[in-house]
Amino acid sequence: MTKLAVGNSKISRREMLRLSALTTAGAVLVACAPAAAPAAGGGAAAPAADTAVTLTIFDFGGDADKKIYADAHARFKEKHANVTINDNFTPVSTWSEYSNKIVTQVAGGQSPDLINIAIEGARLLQSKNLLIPLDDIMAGDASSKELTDDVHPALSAPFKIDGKTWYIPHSWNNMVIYYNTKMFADKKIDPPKADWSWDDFLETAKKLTSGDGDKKVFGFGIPYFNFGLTPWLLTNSTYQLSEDWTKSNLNDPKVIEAVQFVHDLVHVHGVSPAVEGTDTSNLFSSGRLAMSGWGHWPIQGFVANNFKDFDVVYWPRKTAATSVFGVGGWGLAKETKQQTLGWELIKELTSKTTIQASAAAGVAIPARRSVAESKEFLEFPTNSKIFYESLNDTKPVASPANFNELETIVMRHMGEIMSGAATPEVGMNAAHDELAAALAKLK
Amino acid sequence: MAQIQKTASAGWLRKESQREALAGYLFILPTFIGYTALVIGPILAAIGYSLTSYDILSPPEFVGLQNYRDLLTDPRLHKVYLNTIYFTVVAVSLNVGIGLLLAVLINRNMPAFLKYIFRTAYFFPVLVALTYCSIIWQYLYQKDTGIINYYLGLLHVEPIAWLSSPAWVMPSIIAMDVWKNTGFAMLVFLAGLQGISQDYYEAASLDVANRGQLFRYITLPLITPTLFFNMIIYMIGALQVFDSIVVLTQGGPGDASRSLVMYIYENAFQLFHMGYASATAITLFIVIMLLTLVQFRVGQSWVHYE
Repeated sequence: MTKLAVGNSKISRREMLRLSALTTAGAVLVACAPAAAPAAGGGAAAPAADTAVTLTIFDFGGDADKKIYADAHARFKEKHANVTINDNFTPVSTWSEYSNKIVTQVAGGQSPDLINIAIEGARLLQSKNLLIPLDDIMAGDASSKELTDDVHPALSAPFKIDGKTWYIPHSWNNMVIYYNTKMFADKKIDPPKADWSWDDFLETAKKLTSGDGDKKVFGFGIPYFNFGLTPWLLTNSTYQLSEDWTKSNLNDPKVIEAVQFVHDLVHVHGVSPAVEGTDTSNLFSSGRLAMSGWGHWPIQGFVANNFKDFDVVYWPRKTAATSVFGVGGWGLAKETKQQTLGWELIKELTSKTTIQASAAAGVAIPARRSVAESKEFLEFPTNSKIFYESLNDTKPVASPANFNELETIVMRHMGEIMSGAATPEVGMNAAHDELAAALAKLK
Repeated sequence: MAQIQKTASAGWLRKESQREALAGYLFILPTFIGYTALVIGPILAAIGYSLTSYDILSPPEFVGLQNYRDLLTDPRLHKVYLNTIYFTVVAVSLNVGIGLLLAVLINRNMPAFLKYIFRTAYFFPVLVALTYCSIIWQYLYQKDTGIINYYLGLLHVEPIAWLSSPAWVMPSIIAMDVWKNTGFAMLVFLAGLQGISQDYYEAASLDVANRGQLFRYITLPLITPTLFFNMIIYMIGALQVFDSIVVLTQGGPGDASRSLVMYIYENAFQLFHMGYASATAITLFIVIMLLTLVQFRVGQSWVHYE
């Protein structure tokens, strides 16, 4: 029977319920709650080829990803005809929501065999003991070296926690500035230089802002989400957390300076529209925004809508030439009873064929260097090479085990700041206090 | 002996009232089981969890009343409670008030097809999925690119930050809620109005009562049961407002539009503070129960049943 810790003593769940004056009906429902900790993983040997096996996957992405993964599953099944793959696919809105969904489903007794997760949720799942480390499996499989050698070490590093490897990277994104080449040409403005500064950026944004009312065109649309705001901090030589992700750094004067800069783009300089509810990708592709910031993900949509008058450039710098990146990877769930088959499927999902298909769809940047540097991937936009090139100087998005709290706290206080309800200094100091308390609880 | 028992048993079943009682119990049994398992059970489970620290993956740890003590010192909880009360008072008043006004206007003598058109037009938003409505209104409310500010601009009114200003965000959400939901109140009021016998109006007309007097002394008292029903239904719904705000503002800016249920959801399914979320949910349960009881108690003095 599952035990509940009460101070130093242990009492049974039934006793706990009795103490809480719960009735039988309550007890039945509480008993339906998930088992506390998943059991250890199953054996490593693959079942016989004629044994029917089902592999369940937690997966995310858009329509293009769904097809790419379906094709990869089909290739896998050519070698393993006895395996049925149950793809539990989630269209992602935020990483917090996706990782929260995984935790909730596992808690509900629906643990998968494979988990596809981004860096933002990686530590949450690892800290909740939902995964098995992959080091031993990789050490026993010579073919894994081909994959690890083809992936930039910076992409693997965030997935090594406590000295163990928990995920295999498949794709990633970093934040760069997108600019409308036609609007720049029409205004006779030179394309931004690779080493442009915040001042250069602001001056350019002002030149590109024009008109009034429904005819107003804005120089820059603020990417108003945690990942999109982080480059402003990094290019000012600061970060949301301490280097080891254990302490809040939101009250750093440099953080406040960066937030003030973002605030002023709307409220002082008028070069950006109000952030709440602004659909930057629609406005950018319709010529209402001359610049904005994204990873690689909107290119596919822009091209599909016949919008190709844009290129990409590095994020403008204040004191540091850098940006932020996030990476997605595959992990093996601790409850899986099919470690060998699961690992084989991970290899198929991170194979050159699958990554090439993903790169062709243009959704994210391939983790494999050989694909990211291929002619097909670099074909459009013109300056595509900066995506992989920038990796040497780019930092991972701060992703502690309670990333969901970090994101919630930062964005809630940013909302107050951008609405004028709090100054950047007051807002960030309040956010710092909250985040510090949340991180302290994590310990 | 066995024969006696059989006869007694058959005799029991032969009694008409007892057979009816048995049939009645059998009819309500599925509802009783469903209500116990899906309503009473979770409430009791929530009470249990509210006494624990629980992150849904690790075993719950008994913490006594700590979660309830934390409620008292949580400034965010106070803010979301105030938002919810503000929303409830204003949205319920407007939904019920405007619903009644529309029903009275439509219930007048007019061609049947016009009645049909008005009734359909005002009820139509109720049928549209809330998420679609919220997304459309989000575009309408956009400060720099929204259509509302565009037309206000033609009148030389400065753009209003409908969803990004702490002062405007709640009125904006309430406006959408009233547009979306008042049609239901209207329909219920229409049913209530059509149930009033014309004899009362004819008798009052003989006493030379004007339109205002007819409404004040005949219509209003006779639709008080409908009014009471609408107020209870809308109050309970408003206290649990969630999805429209999630889509429109996600509770922002800051906590300016965050409702209590959103806060419970955030704690339970985003932060996995299930114990604290359960304690908060219990307070909402008590508030709704008390307000409903008060409404029923006070209603005895102003609700008139024919």
